[in-house]
Amino acid sequence: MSAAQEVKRSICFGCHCECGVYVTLENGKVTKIVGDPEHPQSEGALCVRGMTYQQLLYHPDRVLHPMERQANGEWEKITWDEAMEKITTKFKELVEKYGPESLAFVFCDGDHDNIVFNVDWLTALKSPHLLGTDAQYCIRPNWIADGLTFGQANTWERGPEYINSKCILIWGGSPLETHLGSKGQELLQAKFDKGAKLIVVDPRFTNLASKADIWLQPRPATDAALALGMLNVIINEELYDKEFVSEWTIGFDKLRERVQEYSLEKVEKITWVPKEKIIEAARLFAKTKPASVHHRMGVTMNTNGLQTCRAIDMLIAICGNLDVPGGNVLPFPSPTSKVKSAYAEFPRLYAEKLPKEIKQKRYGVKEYPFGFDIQNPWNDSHPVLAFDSVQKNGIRGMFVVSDPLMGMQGSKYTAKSLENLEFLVVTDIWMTATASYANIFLPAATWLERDIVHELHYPSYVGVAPKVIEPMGECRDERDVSIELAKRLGLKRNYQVNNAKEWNDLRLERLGVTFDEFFKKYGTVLKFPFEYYKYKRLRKFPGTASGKVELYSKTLEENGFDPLPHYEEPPVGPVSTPELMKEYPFIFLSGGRKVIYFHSYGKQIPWLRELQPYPEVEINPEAAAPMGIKDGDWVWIETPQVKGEKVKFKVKLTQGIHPLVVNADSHWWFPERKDDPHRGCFESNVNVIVPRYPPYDPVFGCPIIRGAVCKITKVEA
Amino acid sequence: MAKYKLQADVKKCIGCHSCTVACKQEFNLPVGPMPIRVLKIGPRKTNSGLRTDYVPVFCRHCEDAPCIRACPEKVLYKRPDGIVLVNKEKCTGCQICIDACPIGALQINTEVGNVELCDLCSARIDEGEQPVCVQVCPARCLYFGESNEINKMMQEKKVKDILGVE
Repeated sequence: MSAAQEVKRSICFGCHCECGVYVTLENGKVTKIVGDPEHPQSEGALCVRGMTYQQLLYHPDRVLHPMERQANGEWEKITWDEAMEKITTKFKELVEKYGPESLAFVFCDGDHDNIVFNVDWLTALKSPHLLGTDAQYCIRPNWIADGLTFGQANTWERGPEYINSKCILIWGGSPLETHLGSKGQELLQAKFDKGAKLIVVDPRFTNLASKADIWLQPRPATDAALALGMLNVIINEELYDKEFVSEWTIGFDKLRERVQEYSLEKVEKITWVPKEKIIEAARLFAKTKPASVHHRMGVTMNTNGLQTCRAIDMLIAICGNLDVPGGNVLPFPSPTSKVKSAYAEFPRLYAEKLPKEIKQKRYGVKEYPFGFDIQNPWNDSHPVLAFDSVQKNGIRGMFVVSDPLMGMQGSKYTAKSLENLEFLVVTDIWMTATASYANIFLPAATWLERDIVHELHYPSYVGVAPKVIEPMGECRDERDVSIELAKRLGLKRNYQVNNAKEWNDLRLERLGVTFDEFFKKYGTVLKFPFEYYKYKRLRKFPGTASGKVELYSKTLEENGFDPLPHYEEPPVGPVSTPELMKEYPFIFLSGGRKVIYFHSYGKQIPWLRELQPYPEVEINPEAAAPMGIKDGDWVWIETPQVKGEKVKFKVKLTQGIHPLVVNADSHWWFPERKDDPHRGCFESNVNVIVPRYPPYDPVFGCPIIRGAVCKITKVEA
Repeated sequence: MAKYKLQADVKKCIGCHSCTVACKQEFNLPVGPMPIRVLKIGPRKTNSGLRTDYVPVFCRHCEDAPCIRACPEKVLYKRPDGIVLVNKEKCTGCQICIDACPIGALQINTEVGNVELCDLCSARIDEGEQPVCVQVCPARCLYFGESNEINKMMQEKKVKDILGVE
């Protein structure tokens, strides 16, 4: 190693896998990023996104100073002081003229630590509009279904403990694409080193499905029926855990009655999965102990998300895999209790400090009271309704730290809302589709340029990720910006910290160390012992109304919903709208993820883009042939719900998709198109044609995102 | 036989491209050449259902290497331990070696005009480290070691596979 070379240890925060990394610098410049073998979750694994962050750091497209958009549309460089002064003045003006509810903070995924400080100013201002643009389908249905059933969420990343599992059931997603370094590599170890069986439910033959012992390929959006069919087998063949069911659950007899409505013949007809395969999967899952279940966005991005999640939850509950090693563990006590938790702080702030009458001004409270008021641990506002409000004199100013134009359904509508805003501030690393509509652009520091405390998503780690270099140009830690904004607005803040550094130390206070001391003493990660069978010690499942696992939910019943899981036919498709299928013959999966890209991120990164240069749609050759469509052709995709719009994709012919289903990539835009102010964000972005209109799901107001219908036509040269 | 061998266990590869990108990072390669890349074969119909294979492709450091024989400039050569190397300074980028290689392991680096091929991370292995692709593979499907040992290990794996034992 030359004298000018050094290696620093940190944690990648490119997504929320939070994998350990070693970063090599040469003459102060980051040249290599590889996995840290001693990180307890990622164990040396790191995906291609993590390995290419140096190409982001020094990318010529990165915006390194605040900018203001002029009346003629041109961007002009301004100072931080000018930017913050303009934001403060405009925010004050909007609050004075239209009240605090005219302002919103918008995020998606990502950095909860940053959200804390934005909720701090929202709370002090008394604005109830915290908008997570994925709020109707990401985590929420899982979280609330699990909460009603088990008292706590345990079917997302934190629940299934693959490594000790003998049978892993992955439903509607591929952790090998989305969580490669963390849950993905754990799954591969469980499968290949420890011989775990793998059952995959996915309409697509993914890389994960190619490694499965059993792959079930359901018709999109029929997952609840499939789960009820599996329950039918397990209950009628008496393969369930009788002791656990009688001691720790309520409503089993009613569930037994309910599953009789789902004969395997009926389920086969609904789901297209042969009944022999359903029986095989159900038996393997029920007889192999311990087994764990992980369900992902494939089951929630639809109009029956809550009931689908509940149906899958029943599998965990009645097979006795709850809170056992290798099963679905309940994540309390989580690292949350060891540090001041970002995940817990912002909802607590809102819950405790926002006056009740202000809370009732949140969007969704009236329309979706169960999912957005009664059961709303985040106290957030419904994103689609909130974006609608912009066009109805509701929200007039937004502070955005994500890319809702790419991420939200109905992109043209979102664009119109962004256009109608009186004032838009966007913080990002480069000019995004959303940022192209902003009045003020603020340049953000990346994870390599910030000190961050992590509560890792998996049970019982706390981590610190020291910055590797100082922020480039004038880029700033977003938390510092939010703190300064609150100060400039003259607000009474909840946290008396002046910057992110003080906040990091405050978060670790309970451990008796500062950020720097933590790193010196423990390295990047401190692991805590994990307890199983907590319900036995506590003699109850904390969090459910009855203290038992609720197969039958009185809470749902009292709120007018089905207390037992059921299947609902998707509102469009071959069964509900056969006439429509003549013109729109395909079921449309939008937004399949690949390991190369993270949401809208990565199209600019040369080492990523060369792995997949174009947006792709997967079509079965049998379906493509009659249309004269060949592999590599460009096609238009159209849906009946978003009339007059179409998006362009390159055909990937594959046996891995049903002839009646097509699957398009998510979040495509063309950042290299500098001549287009919006960077080609409407050309190949599935969200342009994904309906944001009703029929909505009754609990969360989620549109049909994976399971709408579409037609395909060849792009003529 | 070359002293060292890089071996992929195709059964475990998931096609995540980690090896490809780690290699490009290690050698700071521009867009284009990939000394190790993963081919996706499938999904295709078989008697036991659909099947996809992910096959990492990289230089095998052949005993009698066709690329060395083909190179008109004599800039491809072997180290004493059998690793095929290219003298990048003298390579003219004529690409005759690329045509000669039966598995397409050599690729042109258009930025500097020479061919690139996997050198088994010779600098790293001389320091006692593993090749970078082996280090980063999340599926742990790449193995590196003395050829004899690797061959023995793979033989054992195959027999166990046939017998169906873990």
